[in-house]
Amino acid sequence: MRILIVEDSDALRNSLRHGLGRSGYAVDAVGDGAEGLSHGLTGVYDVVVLDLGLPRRDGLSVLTELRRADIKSHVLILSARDQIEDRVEGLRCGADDYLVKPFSFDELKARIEALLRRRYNDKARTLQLDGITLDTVARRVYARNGELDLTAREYAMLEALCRHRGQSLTRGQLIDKTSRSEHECSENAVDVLLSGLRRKLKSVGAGELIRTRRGFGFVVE
Amino acid sequence: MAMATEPRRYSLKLWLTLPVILAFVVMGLITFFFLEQQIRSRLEAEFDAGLETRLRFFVTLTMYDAADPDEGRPEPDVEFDFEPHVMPEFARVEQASYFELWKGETTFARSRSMRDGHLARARVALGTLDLRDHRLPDGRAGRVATMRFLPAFDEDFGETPEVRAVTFAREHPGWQRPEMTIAVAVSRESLDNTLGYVDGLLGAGLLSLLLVVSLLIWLGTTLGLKPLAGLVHQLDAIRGDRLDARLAEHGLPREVAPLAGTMNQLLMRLEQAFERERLFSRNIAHELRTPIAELLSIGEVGAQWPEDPAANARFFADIAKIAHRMDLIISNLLMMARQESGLMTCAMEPVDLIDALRATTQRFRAELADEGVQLHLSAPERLVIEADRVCLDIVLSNLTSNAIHHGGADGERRTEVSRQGSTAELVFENPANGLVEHDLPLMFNRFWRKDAARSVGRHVGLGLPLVRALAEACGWTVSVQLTPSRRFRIAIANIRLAEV
Repeated sequence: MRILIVEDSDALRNSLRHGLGRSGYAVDAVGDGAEGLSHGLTGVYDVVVLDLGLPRRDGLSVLTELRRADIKSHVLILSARDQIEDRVEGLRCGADDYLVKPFSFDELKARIEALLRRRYNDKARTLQLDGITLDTVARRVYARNGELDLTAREYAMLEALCRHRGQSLTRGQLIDKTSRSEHECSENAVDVLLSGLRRKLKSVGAGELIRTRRGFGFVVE
Repeated sequence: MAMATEPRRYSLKLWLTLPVILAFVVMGLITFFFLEQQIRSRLEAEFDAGLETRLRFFVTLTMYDAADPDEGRPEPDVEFDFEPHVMPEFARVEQASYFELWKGETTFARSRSMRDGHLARARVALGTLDLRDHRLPDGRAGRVATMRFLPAFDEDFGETPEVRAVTFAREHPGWQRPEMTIAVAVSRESLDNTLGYVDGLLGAGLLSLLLVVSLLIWLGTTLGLKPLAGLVHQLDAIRGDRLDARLAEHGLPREVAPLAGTMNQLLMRLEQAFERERLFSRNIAHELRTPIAELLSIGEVGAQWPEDPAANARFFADIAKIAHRMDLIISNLLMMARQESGLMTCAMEPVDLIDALRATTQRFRAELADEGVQLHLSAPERLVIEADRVCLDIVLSNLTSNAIHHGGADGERRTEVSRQGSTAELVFENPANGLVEHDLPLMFNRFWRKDAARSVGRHVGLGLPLVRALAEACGWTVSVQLTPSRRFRIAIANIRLAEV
């Protein structure tokens, strides 16, 4: 899952990037509204965490432009403005959620997860298929005989495929959903990652979970 | 809270109209009665004059004839030569007039209209006319004229009244003419009707005048107060959440227009003050909550993944920066609060301004080097001023820091000190770096920063407000301007020179 953080506070931006990255998300982080809009329009993000008081272009203006361009990414506003009218305005401009600063990092994560479930029309905490259970909140994978030890990127890839069950995802799409844009991830690296993931799934009897469709990509049936 | 009373304009109209009505009523009644009396007197006098004329007519018809045995008059006697056809009103039955002639105490003649009736006989002196109201025999209201007289000698006694009197006295010595009393009674209905009509006319006229004047006063007051009512209506519409509303000034009378103008000025200032407060609340929420959010996020993320030493090192460095920033915000706010509440006392003493400037520049040498800029000082070698050292240090530090960090990447920074008589002026000048005229009044608002400056972490938007607060505490003035050559200039003036 790919997240864009638009926050002008260096310390907050860095801590969120670190925390969400360690939580298994592919995270891009920028420090002003103009850059945030540029990333939002050109990138493919599942969630945009957007501050309102931004230099160069304020957050509401960025949000309005994203919605005008029919960008479907969920937007969670992060702001110190706690008045009802500010929250109402943010939600009416197209935000999906509004979190007032200061906030708990765990709450932010939980709200992002809720938005992701909404994005994939999946209100369940877990995804179950073929003897494998994905706990999307705890970001763990369980098989019949115990937990599967996956790296963050392996988990992100598996979750992306499971959420797009029945839909083929190309290498490029998998890169978008699992990598930060500043870390160039080649298609070879995707193959290596998939290979590692398939090996671990095979060890728990789910080696056939991820199938290759030549010319189309990879799919979880 | 005092309760609003009834609109003043209603009581004003009432207090203008009521006294006029009362005055009109009083004057109207006086005029009515005076006029009515005058007209009544004149009409009654004319009526009575007519009645008297008739009565005298009857007197002239009453003659004292000489004896004339041929006419069956062996001695002189009264003769009343009245023909009913001459005055038919005395002969008819309906709407009749009446007369009665007494000779002594006995009725000598009376009008046919009397039939068997009599008129009341008033006791009057000889030759005196008595006029009084009297109920006529047919019940109508009437007026009767009565006179007692001696009948005139007939012309048989001589040619002139004097000859006649002499002749009578000679021919009938010791004889006296009999005293006659004539009473003529006529209806006063026409007079009363006329008087009633006049009364009605007068009354209606005065009442109409009263109504018209009252209406005119009421309308005039209403029209005159209409602009005020309009103003009140507009003021009523102004609410706390609609301070952008303004009163219409065009079309108002000269007396009221300044009021609307003043109100609009006040509304504008109130709106600006509310907007400043709103922005201040929003900004201070951002400036105080953001560091706390930063600390909370750093703490929770660091606690969840403590095994990353590089990340932790970064986090601790961030924590230090955040703490310093919060300290700056709190210190500046406290200082401004103390100055505004009058708790700050300035310990004024002689201070060499040039020395203080050089010391400040020296403290900022690292930042000057980081930014790659230089601060040029144009000042006399020495200038001793009256200042509070602490306030002066903070003012110079803030102005120097702003000049370094907000002046853009290129461009000369200048500091000038000059004498202005018994005071000094200190000027900091640097490239405007995107500042426009509209920004100048906003620069002293707390937490205001030009957009680009928001990314500069060390500045929180309290520097210039603090500079102004401390400068004013020392009795100095602060002004800002943009020069034609697109440079920003801030001047501290009215700095009193120390007596050295």
